[in-house]
Amino acid sequence: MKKITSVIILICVLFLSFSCQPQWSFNIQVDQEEFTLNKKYIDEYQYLKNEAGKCEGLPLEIAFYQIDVNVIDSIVIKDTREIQHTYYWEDIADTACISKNGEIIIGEEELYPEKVIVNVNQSNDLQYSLLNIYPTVAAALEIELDEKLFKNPLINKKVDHIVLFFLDGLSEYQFQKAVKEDWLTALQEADYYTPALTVYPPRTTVASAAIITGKGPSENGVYKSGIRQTTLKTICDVVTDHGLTAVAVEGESLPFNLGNCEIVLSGDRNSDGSTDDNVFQKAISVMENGMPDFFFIHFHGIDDMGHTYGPDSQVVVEKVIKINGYLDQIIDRLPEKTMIITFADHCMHSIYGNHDKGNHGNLIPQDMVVFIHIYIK
Amino acid sequence: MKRRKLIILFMLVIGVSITACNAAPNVDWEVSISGAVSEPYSITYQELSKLPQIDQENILMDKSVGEDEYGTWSGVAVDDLLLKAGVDSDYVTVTAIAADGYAVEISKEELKGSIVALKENGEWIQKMDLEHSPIRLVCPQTPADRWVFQLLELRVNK
Repeated sequence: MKKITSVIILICVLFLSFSCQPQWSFNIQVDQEEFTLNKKYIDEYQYLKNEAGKCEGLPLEIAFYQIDVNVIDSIVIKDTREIQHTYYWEDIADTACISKNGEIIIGEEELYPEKVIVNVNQSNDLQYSLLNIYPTVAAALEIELDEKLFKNPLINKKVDHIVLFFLDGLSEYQFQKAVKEDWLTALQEADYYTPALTVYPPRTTVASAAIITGKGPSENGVYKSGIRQTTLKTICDVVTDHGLTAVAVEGESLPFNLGNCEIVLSGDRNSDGSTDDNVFQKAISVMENGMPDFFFIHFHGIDDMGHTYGPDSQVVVEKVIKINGYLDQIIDRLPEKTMIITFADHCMHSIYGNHDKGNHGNLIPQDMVVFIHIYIK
Repeated sequence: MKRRKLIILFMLVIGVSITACNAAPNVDWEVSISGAVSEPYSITYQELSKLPQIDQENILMDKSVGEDEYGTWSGVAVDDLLLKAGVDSDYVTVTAIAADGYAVEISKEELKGSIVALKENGEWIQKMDLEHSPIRLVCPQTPADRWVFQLLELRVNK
């Protein structure tokens, strides 16, 4: 009898605590598809938050990315009073937050949503992303991958050497303009070219990890800056496992642990305010000592200048022209049968109200749409 | 008399406890000073904790993501560690390498005021921040993403 009473009390307590939990949900509509968002969802993705963020629930961007939204133009929030609120995403991307009670908080505004309609950008459904670089490298060096686990190679050509030119922060539209204006003559010829999506958040650490593992943040575990390791094999590991040589020339620091590549750091040893000249010199020096099978070269200057002077500044143009000179000289010294893959990790937007500076990290076309250019010498 | 003994004993226990709390934690860690130096060497965590400690008070932690913070870091001056290895004054940069292979190259200019920190805001890093423990390079002249934690090697470049 005593036992039965205890069980009943326990059931009552459990029922009461369950019913005291705030229960809420609302739908997100993307094109014709609808997804339901609730508290469980918010709790599940807490770990993706940047600890220093002000959002106590979950940034709306994180929720969107988890349902495969990549690039947003605007959103419409229909609240419980049937009033519609429309926002350009670039205006609110940094601040829009879902609270643990299911409110959407945008700056000082608190909305109780019934439905959120996401108007994605036309580039949202781009076919290719930075994840396609890894299988392209593997295919070119005749390294077999489990096709089911990776994206498709962008091009199926066998070569003796691969060079990755990593142009930090150069957007697709900047690339197109630079080629058109003859600022980037070294890359005017192409065997393959595509606009491509980067991963979220569009930051160097996260994108670098995606490029060298062929996997997005949900699989490689690198979902924010500051994470230095992955448990997955990097392209450096795979290349060296096959008895090939792999060298990475970086600037003053690694964006991420690249794995088994031989690392050559190139800090600003001549104190001219840029590491690009040092990277160039180290790259030449590596080639003079024997061309590696896989050669990763990271130029940081475009991103640095974009942050300081804005992505559309003349200083950025001058930096592109400078790097073009380096690329030209490196390509000139490359042996025949080398595949050169040039790409950016992310792009950049002007900081709202301050066009003298730039930043990146949002699901907007200015940050998310990069390029992949392939040329075979 | 008995009461006085008890008080002394009590004070002793408190004194020993405070000393024990402030003592460096027992950590199995070594940092090596290598590269363009005449006498490369390795130094243990315990040895580092016994060297003269410098406080870098209220310095800016300029973060690449999130809000910047101010904090106080205590540890051994990098200059002292390099001098002990017989570094030439004309060295150009130092590469700081972490236990997981992560590496950062820092110029001589940027290294000014740098310490190999064992404490953050008065607490042993080993005790309060496992992710970044037990030691961290703190360079007040650079953004915080270059403050290599779990530092294993300082390699001098000419």
